[in-house]
Amino acid sequence: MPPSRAQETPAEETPVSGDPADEPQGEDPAPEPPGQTAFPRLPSLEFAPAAPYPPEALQAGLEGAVLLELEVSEEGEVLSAQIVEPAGSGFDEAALSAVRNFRFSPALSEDGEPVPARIQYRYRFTLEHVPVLAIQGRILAAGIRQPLVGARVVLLDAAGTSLEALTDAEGTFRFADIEPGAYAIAVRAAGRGEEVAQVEVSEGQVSEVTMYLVPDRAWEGEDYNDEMVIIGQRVEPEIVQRALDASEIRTMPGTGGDIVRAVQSLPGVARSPFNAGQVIVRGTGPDDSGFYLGGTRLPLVFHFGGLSTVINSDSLGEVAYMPGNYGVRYGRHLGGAVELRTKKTLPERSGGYTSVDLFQSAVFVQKQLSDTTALTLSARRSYIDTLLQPIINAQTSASIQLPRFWDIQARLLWRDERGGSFDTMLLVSQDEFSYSESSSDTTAASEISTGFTKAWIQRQKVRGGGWVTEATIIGGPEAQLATYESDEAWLERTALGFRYEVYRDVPDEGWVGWRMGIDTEVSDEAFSYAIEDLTTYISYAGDEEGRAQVYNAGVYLEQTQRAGRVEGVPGVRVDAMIIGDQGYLVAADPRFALRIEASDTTRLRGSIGRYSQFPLLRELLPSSGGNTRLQPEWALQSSVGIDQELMPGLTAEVTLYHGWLNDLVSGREDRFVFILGPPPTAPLDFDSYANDGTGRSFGAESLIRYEDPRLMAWAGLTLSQATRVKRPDLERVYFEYDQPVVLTMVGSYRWPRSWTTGLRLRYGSGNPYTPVVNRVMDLENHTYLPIYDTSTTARMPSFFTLDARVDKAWVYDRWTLTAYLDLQNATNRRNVEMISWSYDWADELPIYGLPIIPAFGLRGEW
Amino acid sequence: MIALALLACGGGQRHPSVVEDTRILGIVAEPPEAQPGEDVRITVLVADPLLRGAEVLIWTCGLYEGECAESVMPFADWAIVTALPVGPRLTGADVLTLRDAELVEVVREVPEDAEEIFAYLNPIPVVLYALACAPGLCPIIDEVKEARLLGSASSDLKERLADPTLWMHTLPMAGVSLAAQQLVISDVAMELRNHNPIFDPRFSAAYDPRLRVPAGGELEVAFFTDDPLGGSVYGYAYTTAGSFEERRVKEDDNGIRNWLLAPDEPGTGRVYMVFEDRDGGSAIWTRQVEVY
Repeated sequence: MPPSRAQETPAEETPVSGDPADEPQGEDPAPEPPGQTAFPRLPSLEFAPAAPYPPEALQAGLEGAVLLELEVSEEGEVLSAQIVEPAGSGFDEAALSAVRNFRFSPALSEDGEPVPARIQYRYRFTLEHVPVLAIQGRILAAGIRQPLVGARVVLLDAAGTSLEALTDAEGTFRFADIEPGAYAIAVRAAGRGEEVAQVEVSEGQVSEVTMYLVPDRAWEGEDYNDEMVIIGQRVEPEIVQRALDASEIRTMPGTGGDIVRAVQSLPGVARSPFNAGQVIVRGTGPDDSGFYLGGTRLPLVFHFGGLSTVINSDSLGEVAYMPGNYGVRYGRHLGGAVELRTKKTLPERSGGYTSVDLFQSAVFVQKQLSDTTALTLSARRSYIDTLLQPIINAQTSASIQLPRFWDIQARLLWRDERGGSFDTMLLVSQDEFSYSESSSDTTAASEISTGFTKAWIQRQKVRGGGWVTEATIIGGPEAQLATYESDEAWLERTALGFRYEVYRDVPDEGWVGWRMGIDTEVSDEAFSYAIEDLTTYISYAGDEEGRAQVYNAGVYLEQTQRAGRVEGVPGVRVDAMIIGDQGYLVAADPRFALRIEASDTTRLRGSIGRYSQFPLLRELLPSSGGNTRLQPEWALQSSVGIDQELMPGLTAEVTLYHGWLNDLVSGREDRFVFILGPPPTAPLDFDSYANDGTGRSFGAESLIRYEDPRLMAWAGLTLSQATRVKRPDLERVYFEYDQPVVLTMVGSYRWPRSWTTGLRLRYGSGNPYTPVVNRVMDLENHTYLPIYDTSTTARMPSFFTLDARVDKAWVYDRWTLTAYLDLQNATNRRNVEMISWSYDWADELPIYGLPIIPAFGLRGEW
Repeated sequence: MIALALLACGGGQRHPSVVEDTRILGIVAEPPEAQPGEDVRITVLVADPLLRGAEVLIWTCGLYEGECAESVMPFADWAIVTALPVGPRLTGADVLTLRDAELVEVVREVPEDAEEIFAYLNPIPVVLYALACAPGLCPIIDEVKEARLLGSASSDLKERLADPTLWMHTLPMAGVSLAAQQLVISDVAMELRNHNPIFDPRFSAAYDPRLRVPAGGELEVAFFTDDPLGGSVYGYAYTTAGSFEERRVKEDDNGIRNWLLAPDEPGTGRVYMVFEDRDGGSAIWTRQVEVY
C-alpha cells in the first residue's frame, strides 16, 4: 500500500523531491523558521505522498524545484502552503497539491510541548524518477458539471490505509506509484456530500475516474445566471439599487421564474391589467417609458401577457429597472426605463437547458468555441393557445387565437484580454392575439400583433486609466397592428440606432468619474389609424395616416464627484428630433443626483432632473391632423430617499418622489385612446392637439427586505397619486393608470433536500375609468356606440392575489431536473381587470383575471 | 389571458334581439338618396314595451363627414324637423322637404311648418337623428317645441343638436333611445341612386296581421329581399315576446330566415324586422304576436 511505503521510505516515494523525509526543513542547509525563535525540534516529515509529474513538463523534458513556505499545526498538519520561489510549467500547482497532503511530527517547544511552526520546504521534480501515474480523475459539481477545486480525495486500500490528494483548478486529482489492486476513492468537498467510488488499478494502465458531488444543502444550488440581477431605481453611477439574484427570481411565486414579473413586484411599478407586459411607473403611461438593449432602443421588452421578456433571461447579465431620476444615458422619455444588459462573461462550460410548463417551452444552448469566444442559441414559444384552444372553442362560438409568442436569439460573444468584448446578437420576436365572433349576428373581431427583427452589435474596449468605450449599433424592422371590428391601427418602422459612450467610474483613490456619449437613431416610420365606428355619427375626425423619416440625435455628459462620503452626479443631455423636411425640435435636460453615506448602515440620496419626450409622429404630421407647432413634453422629476441596514440581512428603504409634467400633448381623445389603451378619464378632450396638458404625480415607495441563506422575503408598499389637467380651463382629473396603493409581499424559503416554497401577495387599487352614461344606436350596423360621462370618474375594484410555489430539484451526475408547481391566484379571487359593457352599454360587465391556475413545469439542465 | 377574459365577459348578457324598454329600431328615409327640393319621408320605428308612451324628435345636420361639430363651417346647417307624439308601439313619421336654397339662409332658419331644409353639397351623406323619450325625460324636446313656436332656435340649441354627445350624458338610459341613420343628398341620375331594399314575407303566416306561436315554441319568420343596387341585405330581428335565434341574418339564396323563440308564458308582444343595405337604404316590418 503506497501510504505505508511512503511513511517508511518517503525518499523513495518522492524521489523528485528534496529528500522530504530527511530534510523536513527544506533544502540543505535547513533554514530556521523565518521570523521565529528556533525550536528545540522542528517538524519532521512523516507522510509525503508523491506528486505526479506535470504532464506538460514531462512531455517537454523539464525539471524544476519549488520553494514553499508551510504552516504546520501542532498536530503536524499543513495548515497553509505558499510558494516562495515558483518554478512554472505546472510544477507550482503540483507541489502545492502534494505538500498539502504532507503529515509532520509537530515542532516541540523547550518544554517538549507540540507547537505550531512555519518552515520552508523545497520540492524538487527530477526526471530521474518520474512517478508512474495510476489513477487520474476529476471531481465535478453534479448537475452543472463544473470542476470542484480543493476537493479532498482519499484513496483507500483493502487494509484501510489511505492516501490523500486535493483537486486542482480543473478539478483534477492524480495518484502515482500505486500497486495494482482494488481501491476505494472517497471524495469530500465543502458544502457537498461525500461520494465513494471503486476503482481497479492494473499494471501499466491509468485508471480514469469522474465523480459528481451533490450539494448537501439545498440552498446552494447552481444556475447559469446566478449573477443576473434586477436593479431598481438606478442612477448612473448607482445611487440606489435593488438586486435580486437569479435563484431568487427563478423560484419567486407567481413569476413563472421570469424577470418581468419580478420587476413588476418591485415598488414604484403600478400593476398592469392582466399582468400584461406594460411598465407603468410613477404616474406615467406605458408609452412614456423606454426599453433598451445595451443602451439602444427596443420596441418592447416583454411579451404579451407579461409571460416573459423578449430575450431569454439566461442571455442577460442584468436587468436595470429605473422608475425615475435616472442618469443622462437615457432620454426621450417622461417616465421610467428598463434596460436589458447582456452577460459579458464567457460561459464556464458548454451546456444548456430545456424547459416545459403550462405557458411556454424553451431551449437554450451555449457553446464555448474557444477560450475567448462563445455561441449562444435560444428559442422559445408559448403554447397556451394550443393547449387551451380546444377548451375555449367548445365553450364559445367565438374564434379566439390566444396570446402566442415566439422569439429566437443567436448570440456570439468574444472577449479580449483586457476585459473588453465584442457582442453580437440577432433577435426575432413575434406576438399575436386574435378574436373573432363566428356568429352571423356580429362582426366582432379583434387582432393584435407586434414583432421585430433586430441585429445588435456592441463593442466594449477597456482603455488606459480606467476608461471604457462602448459602441453599439441596432437596426431592423418592427411592426405593430391592432384591429377591432372595422377599426384598424398599424405602425411600421425601420430604424437604425447608434450609440457611442465613453465612461470612467470614480477610481478607488480618485474623486471624479465621467460619462459622455452620443445617442442617435434614424428611422422610417409609417402609420395608419382607421377608426370608423367612432366617426360615423359622433362628430369625430376622419382617418389618419402618415409617413416620415425621423432623425433623433442626443449628446450627454455626466460627471461623478466624490468627496469623502458624499457623491454628486451632475449631468446634462441635449436631444434633437428632425422630422423629414418639416422641422426640428430640441430639448435640453439637466439632471443632478446626490448620495451621502451617512454611516456604514445609512445612505441618503436625492435627485432632481428634467426629462423630455418628443410628440408622437401622428401628433405632428399634417396628414394625420397633427399640429406642426407642438413642442416636447417634459417632466421635472425629483426624489429623496434613505436606505438603512437595520440588522445583518435586514434592510429598509424609503423614497419620496414628485413628478411635475408639463406641455403634455392633449386632444383627439376620440381617435386612438379607445383602441390603443383604456378610455381616458372624463371629460374627453376632442379638440386639436396642443401642448396644453399638465400633470402631477407624487408618492412614497418603501421596501423592507430580509435575506439569509434559507429565507428571502420582502414587502414593498407604494402610495401615490397621479392626475392630469388636459387643458388649462379644465379641472384636474385622475390619470387613467392612477393606483393609489400597491402592496407586494414576497417570501421564499429553501428547505433541505432541494425543496423550495414561496408565497407572493399583491394588493393594488383599481384603475379609474370613465362610466358610460348613454348610447346612440348606429342603424347602419345596428350597433350601439357609447357616450361617456363628462364629469365623473369611477374606479375599478381593488386587486388582490396570492400566489404560491413549490420547487423540487433532483441533481444527477450530468444534469439537473427541476419540477415546480406555480399556483397562481391560489385563493381563486375574481379580480376585475377591466370593465366591459353589455351590447347596449346599459350594464357594466367586469372582465375578470385568471382564476386559480396550477402551472406545473419541468426544467432539465445539462 | 386576454381571451380568457373575453370569455368571462361573454356570459350572462341579454340577447340583443330582446327589446325591454323604449327603443328606436329603425329609421327609413324614402328615398334614401334625395335631390335638393325633393320630398323625403322619414319613418321611425319605435318600440315601447313598457307602454311608457314616447315623443320622438327627428333632426339632421348636413355636413361633410367629420365636420358636423364645426358649427362655423360655411355649409353647416341645423335642421330641426319636428317633434311627433307617437302611439305606444307604433311608428312616428314626418315629411322632410329638401330645398335648393342658399346655404347661409337655411342655416339660421327654423321652419314654422314642420318642414326642414337641408343644406347640401353634392353628394353629401348627412345624419338623421331620432330621439325617443318617455314623457318628461328629455328637456331638449321641450326646447325644440318652444323654439318652433318662437320661430327661431338659439345658437346654443343648434350646437347641442349638432352634437348629441354634449347632452346625452345628462339623460337617463331607461326610457330614452337615440339612433342615427345615414341620408345621402345627391343630384346624380335617379337610376344611379340607391333605393330602399324590397322585402316580401316568404310564408303566408307573415301576412297574418296577428302571428301566433305556442308558449316555448318556435316561429319561423322568413323574407325574400331584393336590393336595387345588387348588394346584400341584412335583416335585424327584434321582439318583445321571447327572443330571436339570431339578431342579424344576412340574405342568402333562401332569403332571410330567422326563428322567434317564444317565451314559456302566454301573452302578447310584437316582432320587428329591419332590413338594411348598409348604404343608407332600409325598410321595416312589424307585427303583433300572440303566445298561447
